[in-house]
Amino acid sequence: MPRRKAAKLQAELAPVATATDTATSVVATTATKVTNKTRSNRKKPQKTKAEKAEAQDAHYALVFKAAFAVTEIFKSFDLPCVVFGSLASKLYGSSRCPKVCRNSSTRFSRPDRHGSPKGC
Amino acid sequence: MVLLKDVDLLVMQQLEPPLETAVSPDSAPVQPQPYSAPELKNLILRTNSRNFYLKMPRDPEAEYRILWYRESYLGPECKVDILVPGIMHLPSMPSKRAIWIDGIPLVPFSLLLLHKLQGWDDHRLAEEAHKNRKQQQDAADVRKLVALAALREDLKSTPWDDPELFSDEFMELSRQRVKEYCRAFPDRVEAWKRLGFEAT
Repeated sequence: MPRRKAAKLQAELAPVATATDTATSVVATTATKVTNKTRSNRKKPQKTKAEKAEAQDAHYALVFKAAFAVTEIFKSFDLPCVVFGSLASKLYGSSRCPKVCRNSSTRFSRPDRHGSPKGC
Repeated sequence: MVLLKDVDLLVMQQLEPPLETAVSPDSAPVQPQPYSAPELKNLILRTNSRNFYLKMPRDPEAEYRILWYRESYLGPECKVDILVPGIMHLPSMPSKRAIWIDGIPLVPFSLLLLHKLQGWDDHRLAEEAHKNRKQQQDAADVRKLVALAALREDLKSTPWDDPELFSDEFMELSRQRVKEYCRAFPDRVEAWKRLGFEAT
């Protein structure tokens, strides 16, 4: 092919290639928007009641262990301490997390005159 | 239903005055100073740095740090709030007043209830949105605690005039808060009256 004819053909093809690129880009942008929209609309899978209760029980166990660990530390330094707030409410039997409360065999005791618990 | 989230701990410090024999005649007796909340947090960290650690608070300019507990690295965590007497009208009560349940020392029920009522009042009056949002949960918690007090025989005779637990100022504020609470929730008037409060 003569060089001039090849250059003319290339010049004719160039806009077509650009148009194709643009079209591809538009499709890609639309696809990204759709994906993002889908992502934003995507709901988290809802937990069943049993799964929620299990997660709450696990967190309660963690909170209880934290309370026990920290009170033991203060006890070792002869620093008396008391828990209040939601954990105290729960241990007294409030129904903020009713399942565990109902299932636990909470031992109620008043301290003796030295402040140590009976039966704990 | 809201998940039980964190541990709130009141640390009392009954400091003994120094023994006369232990004090040098040349120097004045040194009065022991109570630990501050940051010092108590450091005490915990020094004793157990495996499970306890500190985090920055919401306000990056605040000087305090928040204590957290976890059992394993990157595992589930829970916040541990350490408070000392005097903050939020919390008393320096004798350790013999603690109620032990399942090996955990708790504040007496009466203090728990009036402190939760104070939380409801503080949060409803707060300007910060994140605090203001807590008032519904506080109100529900108060309702449950009042219902619990009515159900339990051992909680019915809760004495409210208890100078070891309540200062005159706190008790006066609490009586006003009961009236405010009952104004907001008129269906709860009778329950508060049964606990010995003027509700209207």
